[in-house]
Parts: sequence; structure tokens; C-alpha cells
Amino acid sequence: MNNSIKQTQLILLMVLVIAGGKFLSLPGLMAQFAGRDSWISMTLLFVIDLVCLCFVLWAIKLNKGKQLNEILTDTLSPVGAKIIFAIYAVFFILRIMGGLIDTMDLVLSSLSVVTNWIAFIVPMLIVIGFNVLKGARNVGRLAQIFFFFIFISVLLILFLSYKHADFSNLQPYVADGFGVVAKGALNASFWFSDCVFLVFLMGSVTTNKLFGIKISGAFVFGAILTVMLDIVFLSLFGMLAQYSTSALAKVSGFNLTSSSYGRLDWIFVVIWLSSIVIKSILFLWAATMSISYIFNVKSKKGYAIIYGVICLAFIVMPLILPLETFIDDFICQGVGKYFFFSVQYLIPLLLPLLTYLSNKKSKPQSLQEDCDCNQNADCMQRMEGAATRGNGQIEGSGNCLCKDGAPSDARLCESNGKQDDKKGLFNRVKRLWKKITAKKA
Amino acid sequence: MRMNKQQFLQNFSEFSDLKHRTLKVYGSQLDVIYLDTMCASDKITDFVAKPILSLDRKPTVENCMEKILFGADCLIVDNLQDASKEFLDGKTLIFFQDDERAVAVDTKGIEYRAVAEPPTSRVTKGPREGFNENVKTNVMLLRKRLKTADFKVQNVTVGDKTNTLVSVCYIKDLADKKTVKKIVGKIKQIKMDGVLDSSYIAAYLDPDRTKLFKLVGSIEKPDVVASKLLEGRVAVVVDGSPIVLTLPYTFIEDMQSPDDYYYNTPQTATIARILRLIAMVFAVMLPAIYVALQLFHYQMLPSKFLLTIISSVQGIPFPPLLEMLVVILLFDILREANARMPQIAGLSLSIVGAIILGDAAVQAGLLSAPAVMIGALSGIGLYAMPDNTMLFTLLRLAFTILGGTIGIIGVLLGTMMVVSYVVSLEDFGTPYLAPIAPSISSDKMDAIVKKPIEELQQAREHSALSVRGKEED
Amino acid sequence: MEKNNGKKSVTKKYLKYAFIFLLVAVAFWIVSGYVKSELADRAVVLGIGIDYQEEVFEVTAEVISPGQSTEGGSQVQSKLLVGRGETVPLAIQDIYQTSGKNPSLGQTGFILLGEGMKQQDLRQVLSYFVFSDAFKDGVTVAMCDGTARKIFETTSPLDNMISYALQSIIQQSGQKTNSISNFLQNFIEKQMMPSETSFLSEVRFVKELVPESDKGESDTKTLGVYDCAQINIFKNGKYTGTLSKDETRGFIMMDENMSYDNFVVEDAEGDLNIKGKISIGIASKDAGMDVKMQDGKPTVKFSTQIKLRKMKTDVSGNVMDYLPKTPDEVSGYIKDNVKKQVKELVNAAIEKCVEIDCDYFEIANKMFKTYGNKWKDYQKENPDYLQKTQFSVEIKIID
Repeated sequence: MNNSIKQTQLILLMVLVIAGGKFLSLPGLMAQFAGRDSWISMTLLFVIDLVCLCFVLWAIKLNKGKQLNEILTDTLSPVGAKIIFAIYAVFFILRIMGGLIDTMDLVLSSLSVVTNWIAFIVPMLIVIGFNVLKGARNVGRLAQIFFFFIFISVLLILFLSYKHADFSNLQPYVADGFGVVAKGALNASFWFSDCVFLVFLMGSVTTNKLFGIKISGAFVFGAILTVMLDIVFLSLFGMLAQYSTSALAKVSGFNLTSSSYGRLDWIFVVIWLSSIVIKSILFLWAATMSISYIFNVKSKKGYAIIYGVICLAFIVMPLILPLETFIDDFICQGVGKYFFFSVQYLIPLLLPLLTYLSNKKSKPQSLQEDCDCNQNADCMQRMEGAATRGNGQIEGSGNCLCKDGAPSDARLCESNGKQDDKKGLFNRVKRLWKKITAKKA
Repeated sequence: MRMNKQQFLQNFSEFSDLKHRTLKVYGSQLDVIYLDTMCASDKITDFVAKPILSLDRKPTVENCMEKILFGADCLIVDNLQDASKEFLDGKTLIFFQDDERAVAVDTKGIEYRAVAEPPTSRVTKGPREGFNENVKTNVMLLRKRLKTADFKVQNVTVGDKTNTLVSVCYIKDLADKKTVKKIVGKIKQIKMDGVLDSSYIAAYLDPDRTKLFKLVGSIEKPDVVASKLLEGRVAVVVDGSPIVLTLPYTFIEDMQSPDDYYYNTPQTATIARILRLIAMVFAVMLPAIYVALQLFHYQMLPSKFLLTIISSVQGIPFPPLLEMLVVILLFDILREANARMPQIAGLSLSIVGAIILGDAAVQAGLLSAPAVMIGALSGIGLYAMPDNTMLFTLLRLAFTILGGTIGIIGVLLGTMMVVSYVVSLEDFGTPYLAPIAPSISSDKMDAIVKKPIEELQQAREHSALSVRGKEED
Repeated sequence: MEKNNGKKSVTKKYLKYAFIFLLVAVAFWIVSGYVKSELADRAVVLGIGIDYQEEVFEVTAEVISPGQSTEGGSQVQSKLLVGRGETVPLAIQDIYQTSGKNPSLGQTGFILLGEGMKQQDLRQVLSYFVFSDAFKDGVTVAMCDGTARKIFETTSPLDNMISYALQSIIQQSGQKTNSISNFLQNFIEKQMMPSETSFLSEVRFVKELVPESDKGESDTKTLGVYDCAQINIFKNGKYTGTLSKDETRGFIMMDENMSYDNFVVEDAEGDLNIKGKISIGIASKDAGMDVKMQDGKPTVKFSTQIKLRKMKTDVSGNVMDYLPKTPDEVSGYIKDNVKKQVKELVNAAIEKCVEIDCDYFEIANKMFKTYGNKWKDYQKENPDYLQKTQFSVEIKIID
């Protein structure tokens, strides 16, 4: 797994993750809770998320090359850290499972494909799995390729629908009191906090002057785009909004006219679906990382097994459990959502403190250890973290490089980070010395 | 093994084109041995026989080397292995009495094709020279364009039986040292009997396990190779092949054409590149989307267009997927046959194929007109990037099956899978999709949107960062 | 040792083949999970007519039917398929069962409701369409006198597909003629808003306007034209009344989106001393409704600004684009006359609105948007709020 992501890629991913998947059943669901004011609920949730994001960014700034598992283990004990990771894993898996069930509903109802869950999910999981196992870098690059097309699709859908929208449908604002808006926000909270994936990039991300501003700017941009689409949706459908199962299929100029152009908007819908796939990749990558931290898995094979188990859960769970009802009744409207508040809000808000304590408690471990890059991903990531500190980039010339030709267990890691160079050099000399003495022996 | 004339002659005893002449000069016997088929007789006369016969003292290796064999490339060989190698390379060996060494004189008389415009990369403007099969000529063509001390050439011999000379060329300060080292190392590690073409070497240098995506450039024009070298790439010239390999290779190079640089309007180059991109998408996706729309998402089609399709597909005996596969298959058979036919026959074959197979099949109600049209449009698109025609053919087939079995979601997932795979590819540290993913703004100046040559020149210092193993954030 | 190695490699080889076989089997299984339907197996529906007779819904679907033209090429015609059932979905299902082809509503652009549907709650009937993510929400909905099936059995002289012909008349020419259209989503949504009222155009088949010479062209369908100048009003999904042509014009006059109407004026001071009836068209219109609660009573002020031009012909038939550029051509006399006519039309529409107690001007919607729950409470206490509303109309003719 190569988890190094460039800053530009992270910005694009942030926009895609914030907007992707938010336009399936969520607007209709929120309209059920908060009616025409559901866009205010959405804005409220985004504001809360922005606060959490700022705390995460602060923590990243404070962080000295440690990964999330190290910070949590240092501060919350190994057991505490494992519990947190277990909640994270469940959170990410349920989020994506719910999202993909909604996606399937969209595909079934609007794209008139008649299929079953397994036939739908297996090809999806293959594509997601390939990227998960390749690491976060692949997702970043994928985002760079697809972002333009997704963005154009969103703009076209917005532009084509805009002229049909009656924005007075949003009035009167907060007529039923702020309690309804708050209730709407509370019940939909499970579907937010997308930016928590960022905590899994702790140790691989560095801060420079503009990093925080750029990332939070991308978040705000994604949030504005999502709220705008929700506003257009509510303006178009008014009282009918709550009855819609998939806002994405409804918000379109081609849907709202009786022109003979067919449903060309479904081309944009299909392109937009790629943002859901990208989000699924990122979240399932985070879920895989969470589980790998729980079981101390650090090999490529181990990650593959973890992902295989996740796939099994994806295939089997919706077949044996009424998952949609479970998510709606137990999580969204039930007590389940409070269970996830710990990872959605508590951990991000406490992260600067935890990072500070972790930094205080122990100095960062040796960053330049001998490592087998195929087998010791943990070490590799730490190396990347070191690299980023060295040159002020997330992915740059400081990536962990392995010398070709050397057997995998004898590979040497080198980095351009200044601090790391010294240690790297020391290790190289040490290893060379060992080789020489071994030969002599 | 030490030098022994008898042993040498015994080794080549079954060579009917081996010529052995014995000369006596000042009482000393000289044996001149050469291959009649590889050497030019006038060169032997001028550079071997005449100088030796004009010698005014007893001939020795030193005498010959210092005094008389000045006309050509000659060297002393002192073991049987080297002697055999030089001999088979077209050199004439001179054996001396009472000396275990021999002198190899270059009297090669091998005929090579003249430097001409390559048939696969014609340009409307710009240089028309193309590489030929001689490695020396090819390196000369490059050196002619790069008159700098930084232009370096490293020679490696590959192939146990063919002893093919492979020249690795690069510009010292521009090419990444590690990349050069890696390439040379990889070539040296190649163990095979014979290297008959550069494609043999390319297979070893291509890191893509599936071998579907081309990660090694193959160019027939010296001006193009020179421009690649100036970008920091490494060229691999193989003896016997008119195709020069360039590394690292990125996908964007497929979209570039020499013509883009020889016309002074970058806008036309930009439009041409966008058209190539569209053609690629058409070639790979159009049949898939057409089949998917017919089988799953007919609502997406404009009503009037749907009316046309419904009336066209009425009575067609094949299901849409099979119909499209038949069209693709027919097109591929035609293309394959056309490529191997003599030019005139090929032309008539195209016409016959288009008329008989297209029109007649539609008239007979075997295929629908839109399917033939889509197949043809996609087929034309395959040639927008000629180097990738076979890859696109394969992808087109895969996508058509995906579209016909899973619908547009299959096409989307297929696209994402291919893109995911492609973005994960790296060629000697250079991401295959650079400068798009990862994004490198200075390299983007000559990616899809081409900037004017002055701007490119100004940004020369920063350009092709990805090729040099550097990525910006 | 070697034997063992050989056995291992053979086992590995078999495992590899088994894996490939498994992959292929999974691929086939996934592929078979997607149900494919060829165009030839579908009945692509362009428009549907819904009738209600003897407690049974009858759905008439106009489907695309490819045929051979006389020149040898293919020609597309439309055919009618009819299904009956206790509900609309069952009637559509009946078409599938009786014709063997799956009626696909993805291309449907027009729904025509028969006269019998006036007894039905249209919210219930149309919910089948509007709550579907696949069906277009922008489908034009209209009502007809008589049965929808009868209308579908007629044809226009210029368009042999009745759905396209009616769509063109009702919806597409809405900006150039004084007909008004409504679409599915808007109709249902308005029924659920505080005004609870919406409208549907009424389609009337007029056989007489087709010249005798043309009538023999179609063997199976009766040729004629369609008059769509009136609208039916629905409250809470139920039919409450039909506006006359003048009332409809008055209603359209106050519509913000519709801009066209024309008036006949006796010109006393005509150009070049040519006197007589002249046609005046609306070049542009800015209509609006101002609502207020005054002294505990709703007050509604309709205001509109109209720009008039004398009608002159053009080559494309688009009258508005070729209206004269000189504003003083419309005299004060004409302006006054038109103003009077407009006021009469609007007043007629308002009177009808109060008479049938249907808020098709959407006064309650606007009141709710302005006053929020305060209006909701008022409406609850005063269900006959239209009777208590004070109306005023202000017409301005501008140059």
C-alpha cells in the first residue's frame, strides 16, 4: 500500500468525498425530518463538520510524524485505541454499505437495470478492492482523473435544473422552529463527518502555511456545492421532496420537461456515480486500515485478507439483515447515532489534545528503520511521514524508495528528509558493516 | 582461450563463405581470413592487402597497427572468443607467424537501407529522415542533431547467438542518472539467444505485467527521439531495428504527433490532441454505450433517435450484443487482412469490405445500420493513436461485453478499473499518466493543451519534471 | 524429492485452472443477475390515456410501431394498446399480459385523462407516476371531454402521433398561443400546498375544422384538430369546475410565466385612414400578485404591466417577433380599450375563483410564504378565506 497523497489530490478528494453520496436518499430523508428547512439542517451539520475538520488540521499540525494508532495507543491505551478503531471500522463500513444500497436503488429505479444485490456489489467491490490494496495514492490519482468530469456533471445538473426551480418554495424559513431543524440535523448526522478519513492520513500529512486553508477551503467548496444542490432539489419539489427516494434521479432539467431529448441527464448521473465509488474506496481503505491496526496487520497479504472479510460482510449482511431499516431506525432515528459520535465528533475534537499528550509522552520512534516495504507498511508510512517533514510535501521526493535488485528482506529505505538522511545513512553504514562482518564470518 | 589459427579455422570449418588467403612478406607468412558475405572486397584490397604488400620490413602486429593499417577501424585480438566475435561482425582477421595475436580490420560490406522517410510516421511538415537498421547510422542521426558533449552513448551487447549491439543514448545533465543506470542494468541482465528487433528489448524494459499498456516508446524518426532526449528521456538503439525505444514513457506521448511541433499554431495541435482523445473514447466506448442503451437504458435516448433505432433493429436476427460483436469482428478481420495485403489489393479489399459487408448486411437484414455505423466510427477511432490500436481493440471488446451484460454501470466500473490500473503504473519512477495524475503543471504545457513553443522554451528548465523522476505538489 | 516437486507443480496447475474456472463461473453468475430486455420486446409508450368507466380504469397506450414504408425503407407509426384494471398500475400490467410486450414508460411525454377521471382523486391516480424515480416529472398532463381513448383514436393532419401532436399544441406553443399547460410534478405539488388547487388543460377534438379533402387520408383514425383553450380546476385532487375561455384568459393574464394574448379593438383612428377591427398582441408582460393581511383580512392586489403592439404577419408565423418597433403606433384609445378588456377578463377569473372556492391564483401559497404559520392558523379557522379576501386589479399599459 502506498498511502502518500499529494496536497492537490487531497483537496480534490475532500470535495468529492463531501459531495459524493450526499445526493441519493439523504435529501429526501432530511426533508422528512426538517421539511423545507432541511437545507438549514444540512448547513448546520457542515458547520459542525468544519469545526471538527479544523481540530483535525490542528492535530495534524501538532503531530510529529506519528500515526493515529500510535497517538491513540499512547494516550488511550492499546485496548482503548482498538475499541476506537473498531468503531471507526463499523462506521465506515456501514456508511458505505448504506451508500451503496442507495446507489443500487438509484440504478434499479432510474437506470432501469433489473439486478440483485450480489450481482451489483461484486463488480463494485472488485474495483474498490483494487484501489484499496494499491493504497491512498491510487485514489488520489483517480480523483485527479475523474474530478473534472464529475464537477462538470454537477454543474450541468445544477445549471439545467436551476431555471425550473422556484426558490420561494423554501419560504417561510424555520417556520416550525429551530427544534425541527436541529432534529433533522441530529437524525441525519450519521451521514456526515466525511472528513474523518483525514485522521487516517495522520503521520503522512504535513502542514505548511496554506495547507489548512486549502483543505478547509476544499471542504467549504464541497459543502456549498452540496447545499446548493439540496436547495435546488427542495425548490423544485417543495412538498414532494420528502417522498423522493433518490434526489439525484429527480434533479434534472431533462426530468422536469416533457421534451423529446430522453433522459440524457443520466449520463451525468452515471459520471457522478464515480464520485460515490471514489468515496467508497477511500472509506473502505480507512476501514481496512482500522482493522489492520486492531490486529496489527502490516503485510499486503494481511490487508487483502481484511478487505476480503469486509467484502464478505458487504455481500452477506444486506441479505440477512434489513440493513436500510436498521440504519434508518436504529442509527438515524435511534440511539445508534450516539454510539458513532465518539468517532465522528469526539475523537476529531480531542485529537489535538491527544496528539499533544502523545508528543509529550514519547518522542517519535526512529523514523529510519530498516524495513521490508512489502511487509512493513507501518514503517513505510512512517518513512513517508518523515519525508513530508523533510521537504514540506505530502508526496514528494521524500517517498520511501527501495533499491532494485535487492532481496525484499534486505531492502534499504532512503529518504530525502534531512533528519532522516542522517539516520538513513547511519542505518546504511550499519547494514553494510553487518554484511561485511557476515561475509567475513 | 588463447589464440590459435588452426583452432580458429576448425571452429569455422563449415563456413563455406570463409575465405583464407596466405601472403608472404619478407619471408614471413600472413594469413588473411574473412567472410566473403560480410566483407567488401574493395575494402580488403584497400585496407588489408595493399598496405601489407607495400610493407618494407618483416610484418609484425605492431608494425601493421602503427604503420600500415591506418585506413580503417582495426584492433588487436588476443583470444579466440574475441576473434570469433569480430570475425562474425564482418571484420577481416590477419594472423601473424609466430604470434598468438591477430589484427581485426573493419572491412564490413553489409548493405543497409538508405535513410528514408518512415512509412509509419509521415509528417506533412518537418524533417523526413527516418532510422534504418544500422545502429551506427541511427546513432549518427541522433548525434547530428545533438552536437553536445553531454550526449552520451553506452554500448551493450545482448543475445548469446546474435551479439546484437544496443546503444543507450541520453543527455548527461537532463536524464535522470538512476534511470540510465537502471536501464543499462536491465539490458545487461537480458538473457536470450537472439535479439532481432528492438521490440525484444522493449519486452524486458516494460514494467507492466499485463503487457497491455505500452510503457516503452517506439519511434522511427530521429528528430522525435532527439526531442525526447532533450526532455530527459533515454533512447535505446538496437542494431537491426529501425525503431528506437524511449524511456520513461507516458500515455500523453501517444497523443502527441511530430506535426504538432512543426506547425506554428499551438491551437491546431491542441484541437488535434483533443480530437485524438475523443477518438480514443469513441473507439473504446461507443459500441459499449450503444449496446448498453439498447439493452438497459433506452430512456436515455432522444425520442426521435429511438424511433430510428427501433425501426432499424426490427427484424435483425441477432441480439444487440451479438450483433455488435459481429460488426467488431468483421471490422477486425478486414483490418487484419488489409494490413497484410499488397497496397492496391488492400484498397480494393477496404471498398469490398465496406460495401459488401456493410451495405449488403444491412440490406439483407442481418445487421442494423446504426450498429454498422457505430462499429465503423469506433473502428476509425482506433487509428487516432496508431501505436495503441491493438490495445484499444481489446478494450473495445471488453467494454462492449461489459456494456451488453451489465449496462452503463459496467462501462463505468470498467472505465474506473482501467483508469485505476493505469494510474498505478510507473515507468522507471515516472507515473504513466503524468502530468495529469499526478498533476505537474509545467509538464501540462505540452500535454493536451499545447502552449506556444516560446513558452515551452521558457519553461524548459522546469519541463518534463516527471520524466526526470521529480513531481511537484 | 523431484517427484514431490512435480506433484506440487501439477497440483498448482490444477488449482490455477480451478481458479480460472471459478472466476469464469462467478462472471457468468454476475452477468446472469442482470436482466436484459431488447427493444423488440418492449412496447415503447409515447403517451397514455386514462379513463375511468364502470369502476374500472382503462389505459390506452400509444406505442411506437416500426413498419415498412412504400419506398422500401422503414417508417415509424404508432399503434394503440389498451389495458383494463382496478387501478392504473393493474391496467398497465394488463397491457403486458394481453399484448406480450412490456410497456416501457421511459419515453412517455403525455398523459391524457378522460372525462370519467373527474370523479377520481387525481393525487392517488397520478401518485403511481410522480413517486417513481424513473418516470419523467415533466410529463404534460391534460384532461379531455369524452374518453381519452377516443382522443387517441383521432389524429392531427400534420402529426400522425397523437401524443406528439397534443404535446406540441398544449405545452410547446404555450408561449405563442393563449393555451396553458401543466405538468405532472407541478400539478401534484400544488395540490399539497396550502392552496390545494391546480389546473389541467382541457382537450377538445374539433372535427369540423379539417377540410373534407384531407379527411380520407387516414383509414383508421379520425382526422381533426384540437382546442385546448380551457382549463379544469382541481382542489385536493378532485375536479371542481371548468373555466370558460375568457376566465382562462383572465387566469393566464395574471400568470407570471405566460406572456401572450391578443385582443380585438375597433380602431377609430387607423393608419392611412383604414378603419375597422384590428388585432392587438401583447409584446411583453410583467404580472404579479401582492398579498397582505390587513385588519385581519387577506388583501390581494393583482397588478400587471403590459406592452402592446399591433399584430403584423411574418414569414415564420411568430407574431411577437415581428411586432412593430414604433411605440406610438398603439394609440391611447386602443390602450384604454385593451385595459378594459384585460380588467374584465381578470375580474371574471377572480369571480370564478371565489364562486367555486378554488384558489388557483395560489393566494394561500403566497400568504403562507409571507406569514408562515400565522396564515396556516388563519386558513384553518377560515376555510372560506377566498370569500373574505379583498381583491383589487391594477392594469398598466406601457409604451
